[in-house]
Amino acid sequence: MIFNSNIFLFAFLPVVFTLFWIARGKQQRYVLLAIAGYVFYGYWDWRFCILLAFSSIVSFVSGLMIDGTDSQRRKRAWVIGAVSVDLTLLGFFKYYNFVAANLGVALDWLSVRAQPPVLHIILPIGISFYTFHTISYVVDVSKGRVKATRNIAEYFTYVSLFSQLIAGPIVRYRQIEADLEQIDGPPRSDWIAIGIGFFVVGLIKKVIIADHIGGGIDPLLAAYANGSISAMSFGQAWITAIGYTCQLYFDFSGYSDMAVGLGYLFSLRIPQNFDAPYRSLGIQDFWRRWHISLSTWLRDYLYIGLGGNRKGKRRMYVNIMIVMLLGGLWHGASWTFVIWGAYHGILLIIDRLGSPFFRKLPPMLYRAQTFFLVIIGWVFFRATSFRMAGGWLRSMFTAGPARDAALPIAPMLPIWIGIALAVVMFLPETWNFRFGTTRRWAAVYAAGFVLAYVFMNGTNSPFLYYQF
Amino acid sequence: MRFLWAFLGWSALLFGALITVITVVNPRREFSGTRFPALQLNTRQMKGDLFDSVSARNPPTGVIIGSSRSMNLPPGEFSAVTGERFFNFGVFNASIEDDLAVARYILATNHSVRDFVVGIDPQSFDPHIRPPAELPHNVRLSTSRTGKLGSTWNRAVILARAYRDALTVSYLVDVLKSARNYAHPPQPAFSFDSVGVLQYPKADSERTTGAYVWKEHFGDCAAAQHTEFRNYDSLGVAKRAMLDSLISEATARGIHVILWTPPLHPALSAIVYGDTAAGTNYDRALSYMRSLARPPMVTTVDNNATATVPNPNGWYDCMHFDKSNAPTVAHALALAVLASHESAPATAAR
Repeated sequence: MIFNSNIFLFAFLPVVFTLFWIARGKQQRYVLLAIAGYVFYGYWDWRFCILLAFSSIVSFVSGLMIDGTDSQRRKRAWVIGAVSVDLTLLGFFKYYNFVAANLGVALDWLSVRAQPPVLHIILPIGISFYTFHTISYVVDVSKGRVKATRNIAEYFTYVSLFSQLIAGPIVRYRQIEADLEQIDGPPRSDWIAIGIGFFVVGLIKKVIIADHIGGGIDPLLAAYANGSISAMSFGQAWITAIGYTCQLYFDFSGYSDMAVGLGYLFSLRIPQNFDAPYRSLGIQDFWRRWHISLSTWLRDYLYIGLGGNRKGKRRMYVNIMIVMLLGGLWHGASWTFVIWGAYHGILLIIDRLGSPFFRKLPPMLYRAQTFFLVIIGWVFFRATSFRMAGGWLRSMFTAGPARDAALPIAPMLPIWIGIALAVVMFLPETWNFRFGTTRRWAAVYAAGFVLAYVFMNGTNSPFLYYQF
Repeated sequence: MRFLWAFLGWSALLFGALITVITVVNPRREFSGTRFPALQLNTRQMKGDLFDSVSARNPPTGVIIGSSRSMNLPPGEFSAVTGERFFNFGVFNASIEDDLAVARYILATNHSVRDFVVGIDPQSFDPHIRPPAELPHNVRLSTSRTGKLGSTWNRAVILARAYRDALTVSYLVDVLKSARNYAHPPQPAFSFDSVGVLQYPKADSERTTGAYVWKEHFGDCAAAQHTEFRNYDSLGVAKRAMLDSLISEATARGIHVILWTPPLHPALSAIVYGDTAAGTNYDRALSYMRSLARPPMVTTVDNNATATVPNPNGWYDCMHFDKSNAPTVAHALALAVLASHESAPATAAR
């Protein structure tokens, strides 16, 4: 089930919302939200629910055990055990075939005849996200940052909350613990207004801007990926690269806005995930503004765990590279993601080393330079192979074929990209909107919703981050 | 919750306004409005209305089913040869789902019919081809196809689905175009006569004035058809099952079924057979059609063999023959109908 579908908008959401506000007690609401999360998740494939439940139970029990012991050794053992289970599941479902294929190539190169078997594994949607939820919970309990909940329904609500289950934001238990504890409160009209506002803005970002740009660039990139066209022209290469830069932002930030909006509808405040990332001054700034919940998760649970900047500059740069390589790999089992992560790792190091110089640049120039580097990175992120990434970049920096290759650029595409860039550069981030909460604003939100629905109806395209 | 109620109220109001405008302008003729010019004919609706009206006066005994390529077969030619009353129930972009729905509607509402002449476009066996939205939005045909003709609930569901599918950008653009044409309606591209034969008033008038660009019409059509023939490589199991159902349900009622493939323009035929993949797919569909023959109740007509090869100048494009060729093709089919009657046992022929 996706947010931009009829079944979600006109069946699932109204039913869950109504039942939620009819239910009075805390426990009733936890159970309802947990069941709703499983229905939402099981809509893709009910078998995925078993994995989700297993992962939730392991971390819930681990949390209780950690909380119940004073022995640091036992705490440590439970953390290692729970995290290992989570990472094993993630590793098997997401990375097994990637490792097997690469091992096969290596063995072949060494003239070893044995080949690891390639398995038919279906990647459970959202596994990367809920695994990070459960890991953060166990680690936070062990560090004493949160007290383990003894209410399994509450914990299941946290892990399977349908608004952020599939593609984040990656919410830590401590970030919504207070709201979960007060979930039995009465509805707040202002929060419902803000929730509707966030949701409508997110829907507009997704179905009007991202999907229109996607409709223009996806056929071209698909044809280039499968070899139907051998080369892109200079214009095609740049317009697809900038187009994808905009598509990804509007798709993912649109999803995040909808998630935040849905959270408000159920009195849960979900943290900010974007802060005008394409207006960043430098790559460090970019990572403070892009997919904030992931970058802060990696910082708090991986970078600091590796020693952060406490063990000297050289070690800090090594830590940055490790974090960015793993961050790249987290997005998908492909070398192009690893390269994307490495590219950003190198840029982060350069940005740190050269910050005295970069800070002296005029902000416009620094911003443009950052945006340019980010666009180049997205080429690796979007490419399905090195060959595709290499050819795409070559077309961006050489004259290439004089005329556009077989597939021409749709005439409306540059206009949509122009609109998207104008929004990205000049309008405030959704989080900075002052959503009106008086009733006259209801007409504005309704108009936005009806407009978005007309664009959405009949298309129902999934979010780009669902694949991660 | 007051804000929520206000939001829901405004949303309902705005959706209601859009639905009202769509109903009144009705550019695709799926709803009740008729004041504004249609941008496209809803042939499933129009043919159904026409068939009901003809059936109420003088029920046809033979029905032509198929796509636009069957739509200009003159029923009069069949009547002249067989002595039966024919009606042309061909619809635009007919899929096999359409053929089955039309046949079931006729079987449910007309007890006089004894002949079905079913034109099957070979590419309609492509498992990836889905029927156009007009079919699921058509109460008459959609409920007939699922065997639920007359169900009020199904009628409501289909209407709701049609409105839901109308709330799209492309549909609203059509609403605007139709509204813009209100003062000066353009000459319609197509119309029907009283027995369902397709007329091409716009193309005919352009041909008379010399404004019809044959090369362009043929080129666009041939490129699209060639791609269609080339790109499908299997005869869909579900599609074949639907055709089997049509045949078995009709023959169980003693109805003779003539299956035929509408002809291609000779130049398109040369293009298709000049490409091994496209030619193989085309032949695969033809030989499957031939394998369905069970004379005298089911007769298959290989159009290229039985009809005199149509005049290459008598075409609107690469696959739609005009009035000059229509009688020739119809005559060959009428003879097949007659032959099936003459060789049928007396009980089956009634």
